[in-house]
Amino acid sequence: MSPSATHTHDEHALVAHHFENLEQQRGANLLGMWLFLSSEVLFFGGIFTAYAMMRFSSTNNGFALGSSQLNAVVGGINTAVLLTSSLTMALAVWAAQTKHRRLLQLFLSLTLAFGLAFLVFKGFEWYHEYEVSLVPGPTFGSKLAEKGDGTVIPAETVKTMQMFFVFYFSITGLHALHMVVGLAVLAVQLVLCLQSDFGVRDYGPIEVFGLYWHFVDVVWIYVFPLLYLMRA
Amino acid sequence: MAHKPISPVTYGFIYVLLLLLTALTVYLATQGHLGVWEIPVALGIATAKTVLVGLYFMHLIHSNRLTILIVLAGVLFLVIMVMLTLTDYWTRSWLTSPQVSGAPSITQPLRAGHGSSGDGRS
Amino acid sequence: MTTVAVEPRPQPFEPRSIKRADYLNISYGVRSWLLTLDHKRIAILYLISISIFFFVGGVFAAVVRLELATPKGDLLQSDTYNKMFTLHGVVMLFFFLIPAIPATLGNFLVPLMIGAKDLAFPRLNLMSWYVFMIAGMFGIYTMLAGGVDTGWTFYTPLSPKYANSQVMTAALAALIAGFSSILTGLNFMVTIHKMRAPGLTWFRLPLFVWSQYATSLIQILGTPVLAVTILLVAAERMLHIGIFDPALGGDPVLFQHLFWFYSHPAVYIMILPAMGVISELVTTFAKKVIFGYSFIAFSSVAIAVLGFLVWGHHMFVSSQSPYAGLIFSFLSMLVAIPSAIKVFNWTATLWRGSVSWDTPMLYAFGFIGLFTIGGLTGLFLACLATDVHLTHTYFVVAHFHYIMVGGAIMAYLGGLHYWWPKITGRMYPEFWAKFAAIIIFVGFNLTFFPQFVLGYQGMPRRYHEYPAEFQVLNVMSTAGASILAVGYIIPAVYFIWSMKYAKVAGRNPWGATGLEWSTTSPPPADNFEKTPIVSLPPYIYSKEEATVVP
Repeated sequence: MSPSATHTHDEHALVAHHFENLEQQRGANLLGMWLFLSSEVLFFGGIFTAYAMMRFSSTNNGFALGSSQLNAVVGGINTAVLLTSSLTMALAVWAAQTKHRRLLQLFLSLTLAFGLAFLVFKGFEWYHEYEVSLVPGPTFGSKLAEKGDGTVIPAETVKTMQMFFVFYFSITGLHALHMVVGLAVLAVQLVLCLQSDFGVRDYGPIEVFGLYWHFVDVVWIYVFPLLYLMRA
Repeated sequence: MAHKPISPVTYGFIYVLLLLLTALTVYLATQGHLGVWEIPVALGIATAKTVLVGLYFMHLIHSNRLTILIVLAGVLFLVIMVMLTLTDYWTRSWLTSPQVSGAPSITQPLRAGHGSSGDGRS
Repeated sequence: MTTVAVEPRPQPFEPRSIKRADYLNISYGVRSWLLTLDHKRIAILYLISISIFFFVGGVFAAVVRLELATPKGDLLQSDTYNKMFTLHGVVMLFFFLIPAIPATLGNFLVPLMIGAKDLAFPRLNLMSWYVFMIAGMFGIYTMLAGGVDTGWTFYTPLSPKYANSQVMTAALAALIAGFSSILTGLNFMVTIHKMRAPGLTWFRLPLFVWSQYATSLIQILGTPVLAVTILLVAAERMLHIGIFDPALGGDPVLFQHLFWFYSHPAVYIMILPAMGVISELVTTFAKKVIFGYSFIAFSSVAIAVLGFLVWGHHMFVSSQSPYAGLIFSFLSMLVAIPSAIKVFNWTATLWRGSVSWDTPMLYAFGFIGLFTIGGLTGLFLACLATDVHLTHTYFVVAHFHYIMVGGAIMAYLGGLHYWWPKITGRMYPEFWAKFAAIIIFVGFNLTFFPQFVLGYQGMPRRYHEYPAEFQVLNVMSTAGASILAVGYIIPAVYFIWSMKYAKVAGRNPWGATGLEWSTTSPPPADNFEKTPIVSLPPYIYSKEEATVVP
């Protein structure tokens, strides 16, 4: 299509035909991602609202008791892992902007590694919860007595605890799903970066994906205190 | 992007801050005995971390007003959802009549097979 | 999202023959349609899909009205009847009304109206159609596999626990259709922000674009809540664990909160674009600048935002706290203000205009009247005390059909007639179009006005039987429905006929302003021969107006 005067020669190959120039294309992509993320805020917001209301209206300490079944230190370490992947992602965007191809490859690989590490950690946590009968269902809480100090938890409270774990598994599950999607896109971008000058030629795609990755991190930043730290 | 990229040093500094805040919130929750302040403090720290991630990692500090507006719109609508739902849950107990306080009590499921699915994890 | 290098395509403007290249004849074959990235072709894909769903939903409505012709349940059993009205609701709302104007007229017109070559994300646009069709497959599977009987609202604990029908696939259909709606909204919003032609400032945008913008806001921020709510219901139904089941310590009213947080604003997804269409029609056929441009523009945004504050008025008789009901009632009244602003501005635009009575304008008149009735009866339902009497009666059914059918569908048909010359390059037969418009207006009122009376007299909705004293009004309603059905079939026939045989329309058969009329009909693949430059506000029909308007 007829290139407008604003196109430089290099730019032309990067700009889709319906955009005037690279600036417009980048702006549109970023805006699109931000709108998608604001949509995601409401997606997680829906389940957070449900959680808040059930917690608010519950008449026993089942939610706090459920929360104290989780290991805050393990959760904290996992939070740190995810924050680290966010840092490396931010550095990857920086590397793309400053056209350091090697560094871009390195930081993307590190992001991928830390992201995977988070999921592995999370998997072990889930497995542990399965082992101590904290998965909602007919057998929920059957092993609670073995672990505690011998006091019997009332049936109503166990029911509320189960409610807590319904939220726990739904929220962490949805978060993990977002991680998996993110890791898949990240893997594709990494392969492209290893094979070509993708990313340093135009940092736009890396920057847009970075937003998504940081958002998934932000969701966890809230998931962590909401699920792990509210024990009173 | 019209402005200079944020330097790796800044990113490192923000990262350290984020780790410190994480450690702080874990410490307060496990050792702090904050009582009623536990939830506000934990959410406050989370918000501080979110602001740091948003401003620096997500470059909001250099963004145009439109982007900020979109972020705020998402947050605003979330606040609307929470607050207006809360008006219901918060005021339900104000009426003492047993018909209106609390949820209706439907306790008998009509469908059999409840609980036949093993540990419910299928 | 990724950057794609585009190979230089063959020049579309090369005159190969005398026939001019436009988006319809630039390429042929199924592939060229199913893999198209052209927003205009995707709009046509949507148009065909939603028309099919409209007729499917219409069949269910016809069955419902037939059953209600007599007081006894002689045509259907109650459970079959439940499935009929549920499928009518699911199909009409999720597969017709929500995508109706945005995905067809919006998709076609937004880039044309702002002087862009395409939407910002053409691939995403095509994907949203495929997502919509996947949702449609789930919907069709639901129908074939025995239907669903929970009502379109999927209320708990009925839907996760007691209903023995295809709740899962129906809910999934709604969920997936929601994703398609989010993608469309996102695409529009970015397009309107980033792709406007030089000189096209916000206050020079056509009001249709403003209304699409406000609609997109709701689609982006409301729909995800429906998605997560449906996921929770699905988990509850499959795993027998959950948060909406009182037996497990949960709360069914929580479901209603989350559901209506989306589904009330969803009503505005349907009506806001309709209001945008009416704004365009009124100025064109009054040949006059719109009265109070900025009021109409901002009232769209106000409706979009206020629409999120009122969902609790669907729950006055649930166990929602009456104090919350008080707040929701008050907030619901507020939405009447921007809606009324629009109606007053449209009528003010007509004042001293040279109004012509073309078919689109007939629909616009129909809309203004019927929407006003629908809106005012909404106030009855927003009022706590009267709602207790009227809720779950045919008054509610009549109210929202006045908004949905009398409002949204009237505007959709008006818009379709108005832009049909642009879409196909040909006019429609004026006599038959006028005839159909009148038939629809008459049929509609005969169908739904009696339902206000029925509801006021206390006939509850969603029952297949009723006391004999309600029969006269119900027979009127059923008779009206059959007239309405004829009214909908006539345009379907002449629109198809017109594509081949009708008079060729020029660029601008209405003498309208707006960039979409400055290009050829049908437009070329890239919409404009060269990017237009805008120097005037919209709707300038005379020299004096050009100087008066800022």
